[in-house]
Amino acid sequence: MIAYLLRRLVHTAILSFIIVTVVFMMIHLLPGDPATMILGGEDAQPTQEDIDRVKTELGLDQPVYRQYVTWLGKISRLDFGVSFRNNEPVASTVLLKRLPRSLMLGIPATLLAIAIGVPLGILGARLRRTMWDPIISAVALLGFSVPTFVIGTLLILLFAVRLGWLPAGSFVHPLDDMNGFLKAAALPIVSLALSPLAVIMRMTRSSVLEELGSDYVRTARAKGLAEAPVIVRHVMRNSMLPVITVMGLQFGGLFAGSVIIEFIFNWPGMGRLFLTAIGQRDYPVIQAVVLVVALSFVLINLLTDLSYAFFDPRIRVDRN
Amino acid sequence: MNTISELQQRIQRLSDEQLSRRTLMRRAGLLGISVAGVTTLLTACGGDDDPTAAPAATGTTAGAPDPTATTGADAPTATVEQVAGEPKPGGTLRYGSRGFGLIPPQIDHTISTTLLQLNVYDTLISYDPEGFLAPALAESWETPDELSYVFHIREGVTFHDGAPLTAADVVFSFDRILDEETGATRRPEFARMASYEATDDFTVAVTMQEPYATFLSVLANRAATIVSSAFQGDYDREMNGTGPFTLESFEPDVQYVLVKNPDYWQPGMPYLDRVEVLAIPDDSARIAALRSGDVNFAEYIPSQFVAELDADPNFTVFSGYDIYNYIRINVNREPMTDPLVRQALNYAIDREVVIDLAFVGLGVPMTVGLIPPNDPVWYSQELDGHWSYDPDKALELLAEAGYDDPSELSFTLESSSEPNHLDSAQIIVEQWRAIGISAELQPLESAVRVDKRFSGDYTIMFDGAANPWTDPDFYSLYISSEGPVYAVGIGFSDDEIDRLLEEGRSVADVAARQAIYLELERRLLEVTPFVFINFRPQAEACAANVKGYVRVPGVGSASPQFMEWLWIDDEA
Repeated sequence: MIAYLLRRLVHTAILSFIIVTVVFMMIHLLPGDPATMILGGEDAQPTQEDIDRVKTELGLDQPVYRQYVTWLGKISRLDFGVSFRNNEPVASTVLLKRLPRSLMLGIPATLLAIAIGVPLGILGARLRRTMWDPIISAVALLGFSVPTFVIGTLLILLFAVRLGWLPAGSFVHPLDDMNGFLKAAALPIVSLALSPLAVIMRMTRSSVLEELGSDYVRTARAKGLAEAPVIVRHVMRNSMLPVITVMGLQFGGLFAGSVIIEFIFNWPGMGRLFLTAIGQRDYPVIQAVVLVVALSFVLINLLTDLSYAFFDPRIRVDRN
Repeated sequence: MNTISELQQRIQRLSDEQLSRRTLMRRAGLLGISVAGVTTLLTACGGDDDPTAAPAATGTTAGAPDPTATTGADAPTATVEQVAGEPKPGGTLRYGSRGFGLIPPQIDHTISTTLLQLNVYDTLISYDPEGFLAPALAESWETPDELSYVFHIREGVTFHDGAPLTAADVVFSFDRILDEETGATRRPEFARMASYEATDDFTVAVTMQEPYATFLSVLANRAATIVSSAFQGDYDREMNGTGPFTLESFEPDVQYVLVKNPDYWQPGMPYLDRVEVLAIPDDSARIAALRSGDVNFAEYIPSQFVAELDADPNFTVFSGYDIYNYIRINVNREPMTDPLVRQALNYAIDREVVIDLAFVGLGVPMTVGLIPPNDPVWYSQELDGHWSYDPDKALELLAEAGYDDPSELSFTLESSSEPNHLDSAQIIVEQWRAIGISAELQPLESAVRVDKRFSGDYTIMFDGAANPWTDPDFYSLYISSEGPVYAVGIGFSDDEIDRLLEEGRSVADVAARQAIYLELERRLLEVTPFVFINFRPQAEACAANVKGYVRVPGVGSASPQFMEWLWIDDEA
C-alpha cells in the first residue's frame, strides 16, 4: 500500500512537472506582452523606454530558456513570485484567497450533484419501462447538454433580476455572514452542479441497471429480502465503482466550469483570477493556477483509486 | 480675449459665476427645460471663443443629437432634479466597475482604475459640473505673462495621513511625474515646463519653455494627481491623497472600499459615508447586478442596454459621446502607402449605417477629425461632411492609385473582440467588400492587439479612444512624429503636421489657433493616416435614489471621479 502510494506520488510529481513546463512554454509563445499590459493596457501610451525598463525589471528581456531555468529554481523552493500586475505574492493570493473561494462553490456543487444524481439514477433504473424513466433521462440530458453559462445567465435573469430573491453576483465570506453567503452562493452552486449531476445520474442509472439483472440480486430477492435492502446493501455497493470514477473526474472538471461561472456570477475565485491573468499576461499567476489545478486533479484521481478498495474488497491496490 | 492670461481670468470669473449658473439651472428645472437646453444657452453666453468652455462630445451639450432625447424624455429632467435637490449626508454607494488593477497615482491605467483614484487624490485644477476648469488644490492662479503661472495652493488641506498640504508637496508631485521611474502618463506634457519652484509655503511659480495653451487642462487631467512628499508607504497597496474618500481596503480585481474623509477641504462634502467598488468585468453581469440591486451605480453600459434601462423608472441613465471609434492605418506598409488608397477607404464607409447597425442609431459620424461637431470653438465647419459616403469616388481614387480592379486591393483589418469595436469592424469590412475590395477581418485578443499596436505590426487596425482634454492639442498624441499613440509604432512622420502642431501649442490667440487647426485638419484629410468613424454612446446608470451625478462635459465617462457630489435620497 505504502509502496503504491509512493509510486503514485512520484508519478504525480513527474506529471505536474511536465504540465507546468508545457504551460510555461505555451504562454511564452503566445503573442502579447506583459510589459505593455502593465503600463496601462488598452488605454496607455508608454514609450519604448518605459516598456524596456519594465521588461528588465521583470526579467522578460532574458531568453526564454533562461527565464525557464530561473523560474524552475524558484518553484523548487516553493517561491511562486509576485504578480506582474500588482506585486501581490502569488502563493498567498492563489492559495489563501482565491482557492478557498473556488472550493466554497466546488465542494457544495459536487456534494449536491452526488446527493441528487445518485438517488435519481437509482430511481431511473428502478422505474425503467415506466413513463418516469424517459422524463428523468430527458431532464438529465438537458442538464448535461445546456452549457453552464446559459443556465447561469437564465438563473440570474429569473431569480435575481425578475424575482429579486437572490443576488446576481457578489461574494460574501461565510465567516462574515453565513446567511449572505448562502444567498450569494446558491445560484453559482446550482449552475455548477447541473452538468456533473446529469453525468452522475446517467452513470448510476446504467450501472444499477446492469447490476439489477445479476444473479445475486435474484438470489437476494428469492430469499425474501425487501426491495430497499436489496438496492442499498447489494446493488449500490456493486454499482458504485464506475460512478465513483465519474465523480472524481467531474470534481476535477469543475475547475473548467468554474472559470465561466465565476465570471458570470462575479465570484472572486481562482477561475476568474485565471481569466484575468491570461488577459493581462500575468505569467506568475497563470503558472501558479495551472499548477494548483493540475495537482488537485492528480490528487483527486489518487483518492478515487484508493476508494475502489473500500467499495470493492476484491481490488487490492498494491497488487499492480 | 487674445492672450492666455485674459483667457484664464475669464475662466476664473466663470467659476465665480458658478452659483448663479446653478440657480439658473434650478429655475430651468422648475420650468421643465432640459439641461441640454440650458447648457446650450450657457455655452452661448460663455462666448464662442472660450476654449475651456468647449463642451466635449457629450450628449447633454449643444449641437450633437441628445441620446437621452431619443431614448426617453425623463432622463434630462432627472439630471436637473439631481442638480436641484438638497443633498443628504449618509449612505453607501455600491459601484459596479469594469475592473481595476494597479493603484499607483499619476499613471493613467484605464478609465475604470483612474477615475477611482481621483476620489482619493486631488489635482491642482479640476472641473465644475458644467465642464469648466475649476480651482481644486490650487485656490487660484495668475499668469503674469505668457510663459509664467503662479498657483496659490489652498491652505488648511491635509493628506489622509494627517500631513498638511504645502507648496513643497506640489513641487514633489511635479518631480515625481517627471521622474522616468514613475512611468507617469503626463510626463511629456509636464516636460514642457522650464522650471517650477515653491516661492513660499503656499505658492508655486511655474515657467514654461514656450507658451503652452493646454497647460491648465493638463493640470486638470486625471493623471496629474498631487501626492505627499512625506509619504513613505507603498503606492502599490496604499493611497494617501487629499481627496473626499480614504482607502479602507483593497483587493486587486475584486473589491475596493472607500470611506468618507471627514477632513475633506470642500465643506459638507462628501455626502456618502462609504463607497464599495466591485469589479464586475462582464457587461451583462454588471447590468444584472444593477437591476437586482447588488450595486446602485454601474459604469460602462453598452449602447444596446441604454434604451432599456432608461425606460425603467427604477434607474437613471446618463449617456454621452465622449468615446470614438477609428481605424489606424500603417502608412508605411503596402498597400496603405498610397494616400489615394487611404482616402478611398474613407469614402467607401457609410458611417450612418455603421451607427444604425452597431449602436442602435446612437452616435455622431466623424466626417473631419477628432474634434466633436458640437465643439463651438474648434470644430471646422468649413470641412464638415468631408468624409461622406461616396462609393463612386472611392472607386475613382482606387483606379487612380492603379487598382482598376478593386479586388486587387487586399488586406486584413485587425480588431479587438469587444462588441463595441467588432460590430462596427464587421460592417465596415462588408462595406469595403461591397465595392469589390478584398478586405478580411481578424479579431484579436486584447493583449495581442495592444502588443501589435505598439510594435506597429499591422496594416490597418480598428481602435477606440477618448480625447484627454478639449483643447485640440490632443492631435499631438496621434499625429506628431513623437506621438505616443500612433506614430511611434509605425514610424509616421509629416513635417507640415509637426510644424502646425508646434505652432498650435505655442500660440495663445484663439482666432490664430483656429486657423492653425483648420490648416492642420486640411493636411490631415490629405495625408489620411486614419479612418475616423464615429463618436459612440457611452453610459453610466444608477438606481433612481442615487442623486447628484453629473456627466461633466469634457470628462464624460470618467465623471464618476466626482463621487463627492453623489448622495442617496432615502425618500425616493
